[in-house]
Amino acid sequence: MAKNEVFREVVNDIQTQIIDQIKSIHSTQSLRIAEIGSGAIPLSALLPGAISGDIVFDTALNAQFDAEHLPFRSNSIDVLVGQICFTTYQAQVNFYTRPSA
Amino acid sequence: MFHHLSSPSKFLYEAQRVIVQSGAIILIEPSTSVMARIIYPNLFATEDYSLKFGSQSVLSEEWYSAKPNQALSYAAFKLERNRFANQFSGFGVPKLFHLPSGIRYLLSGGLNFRPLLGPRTMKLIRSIEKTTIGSAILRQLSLHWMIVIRRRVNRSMATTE
Repeated sequence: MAKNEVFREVVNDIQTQIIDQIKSIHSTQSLRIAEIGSGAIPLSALLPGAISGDIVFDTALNAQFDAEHLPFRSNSIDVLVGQICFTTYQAQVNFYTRPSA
Repeated sequence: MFHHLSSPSKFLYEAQRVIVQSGAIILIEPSTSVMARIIYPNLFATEDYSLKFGSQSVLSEEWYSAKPNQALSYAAFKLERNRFANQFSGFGVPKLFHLPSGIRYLLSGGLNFRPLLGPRTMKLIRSIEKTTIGSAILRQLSLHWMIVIRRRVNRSMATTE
């Protein structure tokens, strides 16, 4: 197991727990999920359809916005997620497509 | 993410505005376990980790911080639980769950270091995390907690709309 394979597994497990929590809240398939402060390891990689954004632009994300000024209409989001920060991930490349070190 | 906010109240008002009734906020943040209190100030020292907050509430609209404190969620959702309930009445009581993966996160080397243990040992720890007793023990050594805040249903909302 290469260096960041071990770390990747830990992060995946944490993200899986987030997804399990979302499922325990809502069982419907068409949830509107927005992630704030996504950094370079966005939840949208595991949850297609989720909007993953950060105040810092990153090609791995599908939006750029400030968590203190959310660009969403009132009563339009089912779940708002904010996970631990990985914005310092080297080169800000996609965690899921980056080759193992 | 949460501990990077310069104004937690602005975010929480915004969250209260955009989330539908019965929706939720789910956050993963640094916890305050015994291990977290040792590890964060020493190994993750690029950001502050202080459990001491000034006299001004971190939920105050005047509170502002240009420097992250990794223990901010502790202040907002535990220390100031009563204020949170009054100020953000559109939300229910925040629930905090320690995650059992702290030891493995630490031994993985994180973003900057090499793993301290081999893959077999890491898999063993992972399997222990999935047992009831192992999980209960490892949660005492958490580095992160999951915070779940549900949006109330059918109640007058205190939003900033």
